[in-house]
Order: sequence, then structure tokens, then C-alpha cells
Amino acid sequence: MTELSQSSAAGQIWVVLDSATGKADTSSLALLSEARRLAAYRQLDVQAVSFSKEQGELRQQLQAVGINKLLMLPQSNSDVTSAAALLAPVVAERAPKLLLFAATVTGREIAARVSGRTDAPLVTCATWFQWREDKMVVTQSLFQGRASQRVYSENSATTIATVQDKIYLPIQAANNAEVVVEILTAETVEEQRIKVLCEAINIAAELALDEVDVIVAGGMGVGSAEGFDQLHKLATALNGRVGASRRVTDQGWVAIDNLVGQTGTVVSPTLYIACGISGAPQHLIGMCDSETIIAINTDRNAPISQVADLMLVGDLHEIIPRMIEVIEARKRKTTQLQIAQKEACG
Amino acid sequence: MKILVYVRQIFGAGFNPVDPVNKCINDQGAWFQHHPKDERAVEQALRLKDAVPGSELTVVGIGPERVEADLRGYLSVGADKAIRIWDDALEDMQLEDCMCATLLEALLRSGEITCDWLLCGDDEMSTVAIHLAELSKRPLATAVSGVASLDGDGEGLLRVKRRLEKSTLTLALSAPAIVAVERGDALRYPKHSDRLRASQQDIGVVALESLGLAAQGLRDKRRLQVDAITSPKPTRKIFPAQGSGSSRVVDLYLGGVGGGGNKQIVEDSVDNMAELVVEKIDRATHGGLSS
Repeated sequence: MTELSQSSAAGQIWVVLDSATGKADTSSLALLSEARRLAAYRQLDVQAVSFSKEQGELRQQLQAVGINKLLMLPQSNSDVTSAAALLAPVVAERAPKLLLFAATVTGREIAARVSGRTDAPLVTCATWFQWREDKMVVTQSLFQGRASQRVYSENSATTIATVQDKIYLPIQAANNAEVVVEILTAETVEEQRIKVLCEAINIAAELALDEVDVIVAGGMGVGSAEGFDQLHKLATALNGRVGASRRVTDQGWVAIDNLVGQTGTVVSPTLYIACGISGAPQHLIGMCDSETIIAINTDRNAPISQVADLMLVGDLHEIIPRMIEVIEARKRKTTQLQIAQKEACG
Repeated sequence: MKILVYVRQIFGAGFNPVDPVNKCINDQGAWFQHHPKDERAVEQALRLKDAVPGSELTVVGIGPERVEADLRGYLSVGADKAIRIWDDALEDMQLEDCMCATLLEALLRSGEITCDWLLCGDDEMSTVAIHLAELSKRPLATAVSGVASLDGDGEGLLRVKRRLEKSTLTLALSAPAIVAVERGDALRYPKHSDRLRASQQDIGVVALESLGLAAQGLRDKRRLQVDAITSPKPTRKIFPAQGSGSSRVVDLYLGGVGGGGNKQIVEDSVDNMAELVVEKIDRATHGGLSS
């Protein structure tokens, strides 16, 4: 356990990591980058806070985004009440200037509970932060996005904020300083009154089209309803969902709720794979804000090629089965590696 | 089984509440509607009520007289009672979530109403349910997508589904507890006769005094000062960022306003293309295939 000077915490920005498994989420790393930007204006320190029991990859991840302080509050369960019980006294005692959470379901709950226990003001869905002299002014959206509000706290030492995903991006930093880890262990005597009966991983096929991260969409180039079997397989392998263009749903090859485009669902997933879709304007408008677009088409001059980040010219019926094989092989290799690592550790 | 649902009113679709000159909220001439997530919470509560005979469903709102229209809407679809918390002293106060939670907690404590289950709508901005759970020490489930009674009469146990980012949890929750509903079926439509009945029903108004609260005490709970309220910047950019998918669509159909981007066209053997595309997928999903 490393001692840190506690008086300096008042000049700190803390970011609570979503890191139950010893690996921080991309959204938490993005928040650390934003915290570093804000801290630079006022010569403050940034400290990451984790409830994880093990450090796992945290050190390397923090180093990569230029953060060299980590506060660990190891938690024996994944209950938010006990997480708040661990964090609240530390926040009250050290009074960081700003405490940031990713606006996940658990992040929001811990933030609100800590706010309740420490009387620090909470700003949900913050979109922008700025300094005005020594005050932190936070912008948040109001009334379902119809207004935005700038707020600040006159007399509280700490401001707590939750930030939605994809507002900031993680920025790599050239700071190779060693990460100093402080571990605080405390007994929490929060009574457990909620019993978890079961936990199931969200299957993309059961989510709405605009909620999934990966969409494998098919157009008339797929050829038939049977042709969509391969697309379904690829979508399953990538934990995504199948999408379709208007003519495909009109043909009845897939259900209408898979329709992507102006008259269907407007989507912006992390990855959009367009198979046999030429790219009519109505379709492009519905998917062009996707982070990465990959197109597979026999026609190299199809309009989709103008939008795609990567365009494969070829027959999708040959490429997709091979892609599934490569993905499966990769997954097997990763699983074997993980098993080998576990055996080596234990 | 006694169910209480906390409901809110929001500005009606299409109404712009921002006064651009004074940078504050201007609700003159405003119209209001149900909060869409509260509608889902009421529907879940109605289903619980239907499943367990003899249940009582009360809706509670915080706000001036206009809130009664909202409450009557819920009375017409099957709520038994409605309560409005309001006091003239609250007129000029912008209520933060923690202040609303204080009012609701005082209502539960005052004995004006008893409830086994308190439901409310949940979204990424709302923290009333969480603050209320902290104040009342009741167990809480947020981001709920489904509620069902576990023991038939629904007195003691509920089965609740929570949708987190990556997984769905099924919980057993024991009364009294708070359930914040995010997803679920849309609210049912009322019959015309029920609308007429609801329009005549009494709505009890609870003032601060009967809750044992003082206006100043509540005012002191406000921790944030508002600097300015403005209209949000438009999210749809007329000239999208260089290299983004939207810029290329603009390029394609409007003729060269956006940027060329980093597009790559590959024509190769199937094996090579498959390797290349899987590598690209791995990068695009931030190592999703190798973790």
C-alpha cells in the first residue's frame, strides 16, 4: 500500500472506472482523457478509482492514457449500495474537485447514492465541462434534449457528474510514469435485500436494431431468403443483428423490423457490414453515421463504395462463409490462450 | 397489494421551453404530456393490479394544478386514487431530483399513504428513485424491463428483470421496495366512459405542512446554481465532419462538400479478403474478437 498525500486530493479529478473484471471500459478511458484535459488548465491531478479486486490490465490501460494514480476500493460483491458505501466516506474526506462516472446503469446509481450520502451536487448526462475561475461549470441536457443547462455549485467542494458514452474518445498519451496504486480496504455492512435469481448476457438478436453494436445488413445481392442464413450466422458470430434494405423486407426475406433506412430504423452502430447492398440514398441516410462501414459487393462502382471504409469486391456467398471460419478460428485461439493463462496463474 | 406510482409531467412535443433572451425557462403557453417512461411504469403497475385481485394503485405527482390533467389521464386507465403534492411555497423553486425524493419520502413517512411497491419511470437522467432509496432505505431496482408477482398474491415478492448494458438480471425483490421502470409495453388506452369518470374524481392535495417539511429546509437542499439555459446545438450537422460516413453521402449526392475519407477498395482472393476484413472488424469493435 502506497501512501499518498491526502491534502492534495482537494485538487484532484477522480474518474470512477467501470472495471469489475480488472479491465476498464472504453467509456471510462475516454473520461480519463477528458479529465486530463480539464486538469491541465488548473494543474490538478487525475486519479482513477476502481472497485475491482484485482489490478488485471488496469495499470497498462491507465499508463496508455497518461494517468498515474489509481485508487482501489476492492469490493467483495458487485452490489451498488456497497460500492457507494465504500466510495462515499473517501469522497467526503478527500473532497476531489470533480468526480466523474460513465452514465451506465450502475454508474448512475453509484453516483446518485454517493451524492445523497455526501451532499455533493450531482449533474446527470453532462455533455461539457469548463472552468470559470475555480468553479467547475457543467453543461447538461434537459427536457429530453430540448434545452441545455449550464450549472455550477456555489459552496460544495465536490461536483459529481455522469457522462454518456461516445461523447469523448480515449486519447493515447506519451506519459510512461509508473502508476501509483493505493488500496483502501474497508468493511461494508450494507444489508443485502435483493436476491439475484439469474444473469444472462444480452443477446443482440433480442435487442432493438438501434441498440446493437454490430449490424450485418443484406440487400438484393443476397439473392434469396436462404441466402440470409449466412448473414444470420455472421451476425451471431459477431454478437450483432441482421439488418436489411427496403426491397429485401418487401420480398419478405426478413421481417420488417430489420429494415435500415429512412423509412425503417436509423442506426449508428460501431460496425455496419453491408452485404449485397448497392446503397440507395434512402438506405445510406439510415446508416451513414455508423463508426465503421464495411461493404461487400460485386460491383466496385456501387454508391455504397463511396460511404464504406472498406469495400470488398467479390461474391458475398464466398466471402462470408470464409469470414465466419476465420472469426471462429480466432475465437478458439483466444479461448485457448485464456485457458493457458489461467492454468499458468493457478 | 398497495402500489404507488410517481409520475411527472413534461413539456409537450414540439414546445420549445427556452427563453433565448433571458436564458431561462419560459413555460408561458406551454402544453404538457405524460413522461413516456412513467407511462410504462403505470402500465406495469396496472398489470400487477390486474394479476392480484384487491390491489390498490395510487398515482402521485408533484406540481401545480396543471399536473391534475396528467393524474386524471392515469385515473382513466385504471389507477384508483391520485395525490398531488404541492404548496405555494414551491412555486418559484426549481425542484432537483433529490428534492422530489425528499417530498416523496416525507409522503411515505407521513402515513398519508402506505405502499408495498413504489414504481416510477427511469431514464439515464432521472435519479429520483435512487435518492428515494437512499432516504427511505428501501431496496431498489433500476433500468427495469419487466415486473411479475412471484408469490401469487404479490404481497411479499416480485420478480424483476433489469436490463444492464451487457446483461439482463432477474431479481427477487421483497416488499417494501422501489422499482424504476425503463422499458416495457406502452400504456393502454382509456374508454370514453372512464375518461368521464376520471374527470370528476377527487384528487387529494398534500401540502408541505402535512408532510412535516418546511419550504426553507427544502430550498436548502438545492445544491446547484443555474448559470444559463439555452437551446441545444443542432446535432445534425449541415456540413458533417471530414471523412465521416455522412460527409461521404453529402459528397455523393450534393457534389463534393465533405471529405474523401479513408476508404479502401480491395479486390483479392477470398482468403486474403476474409483475413483482411476480420482484422478490420477486430479493430472496429476495439478488440471484440480477441477478448
